[in-house]
Amino acid sequence: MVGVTFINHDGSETLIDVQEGCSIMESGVRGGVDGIDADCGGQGACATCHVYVDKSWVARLKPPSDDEIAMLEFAIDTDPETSRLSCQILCTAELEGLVVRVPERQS
Amino acid sequence: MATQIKATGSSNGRWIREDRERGLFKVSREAFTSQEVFEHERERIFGKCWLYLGHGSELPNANDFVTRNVAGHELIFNRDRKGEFRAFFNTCPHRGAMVAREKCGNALGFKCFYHGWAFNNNGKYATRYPKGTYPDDFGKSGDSVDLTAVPRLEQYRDFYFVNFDADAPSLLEYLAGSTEILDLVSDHSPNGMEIVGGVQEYSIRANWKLLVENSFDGYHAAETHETYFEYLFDAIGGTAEEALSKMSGASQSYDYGNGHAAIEGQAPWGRPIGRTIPAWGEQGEKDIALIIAELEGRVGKERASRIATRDRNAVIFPNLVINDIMAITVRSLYPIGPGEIRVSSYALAPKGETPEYRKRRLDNFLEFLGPGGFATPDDVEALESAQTGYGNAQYAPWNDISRGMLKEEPANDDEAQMRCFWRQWAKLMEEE
Repeated sequence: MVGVTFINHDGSETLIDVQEGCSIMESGVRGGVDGIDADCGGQGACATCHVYVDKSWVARLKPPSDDEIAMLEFAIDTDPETSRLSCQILCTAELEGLVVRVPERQS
Repeated sequence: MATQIKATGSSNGRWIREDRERGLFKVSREAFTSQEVFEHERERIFGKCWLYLGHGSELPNANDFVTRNVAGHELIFNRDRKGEFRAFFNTCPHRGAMVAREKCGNALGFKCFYHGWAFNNNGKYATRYPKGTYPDDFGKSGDSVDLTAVPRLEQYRDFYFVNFDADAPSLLEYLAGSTEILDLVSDHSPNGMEIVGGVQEYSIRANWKLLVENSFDGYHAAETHETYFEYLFDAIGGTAEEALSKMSGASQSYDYGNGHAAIEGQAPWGRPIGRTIPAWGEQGEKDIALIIAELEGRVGKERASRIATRDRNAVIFPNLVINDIMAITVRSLYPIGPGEIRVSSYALAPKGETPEYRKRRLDNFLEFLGPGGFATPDDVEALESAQTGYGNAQYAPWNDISRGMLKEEPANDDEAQMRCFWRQWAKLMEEE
């Protein structure tokens, strides 16, 4: 299990154990993180699992695919540097301690 | 005109003829063979009645789903992220392909494999396309592209039913007195009940109503299943005479209203819930005594005795069979055409049952009730033989379902329970 911290829009924090190989979206939603709609359930089809990756982590993640970049166009209030779709961030042991912020709204 | 058979109440007697005074009840064989009757049934019976979908224990967690066919409709039975139970038509709003293609699983959403439309597991459309591909308010102005929910989904004691008629009465009203059956099988354990993993699926080349009749037909058992009973008396220990002498005069039939009915009695086999057999030895007697003591403490002596020692076969109209005998089978059956049935059978069992008793239960589920067991193949042969015999319907047009009709209290080897079914069937088929 890999510990990932979700900082909710109200500033509260939720620490979620993510199974290696799982997306942080999947574990976040199942763990009850508020504000990640993830309507399509992880198919990369809806852009409603948008998160901001903590700046110190951006370079340590695998960069987004072209499909993810295209889908991020549909997300709102995106930040060119830190915005990601949480369903596309698959957990590996190196991500222990990852911190992401949840936006105010997804659509 | 002394032998004239009177038609029932409001019906013109096209399919059912009943003479209550003489105690005669006849069913037209055309009801089993006609394409027109089958199409009528799809509309008036399977399109209007509450139909069994599944048991709550099959979806223990949020996001669990199963897929199954109910009366010709491919459905998804699932729990959304909040744990709410839902039922959807398994078809993409886009071009129709099935969005869930596994038998069961756990998923936050469903994605159609054809063009990739995706849906939240609460049914909500969840696909984005570049601006201009679809109107900006696509799916939001009375042109929903969400998964279509089955019009009605309701449950009683964790038995979930669907109704394709949005205006149908409530499930509770529909079930009428048959809630007793669901109560009796749900009260076997203080821990609740569960469907044991897996399903028996098979088909029969016969009309579905033949299997309805057969599922609560106490009359055929000794004749059709002679081989099984020979084996059984060997397996339970003791002699046939001993076993039969223990069977009291518990034989009854129940009319629960709205076409639901049951028979109750006491057969020679063991019941893991409360009736031991010599083969289970002294330990069996001790175990069963403990089970019965728990039952009595929880539901009272009289009800405990019914749960523990009585076998029952019930049909919840039109097509849910609950046979609470050695094992409990929950069986739903659907016609594919006038001459073909698709059957799905599930084993219901007490949660927390010991492995030994679970094994006895499942052995019985396999050896008597299962499609490869001792009894069901006999029944399939009988049903298919009857269906073949109906090829002579033009010259030999009537079935007789009169047995026990003049009795004040029909027994479990009479046919009163089948008459309950047929009266309701005729009412729905013939009412204006």
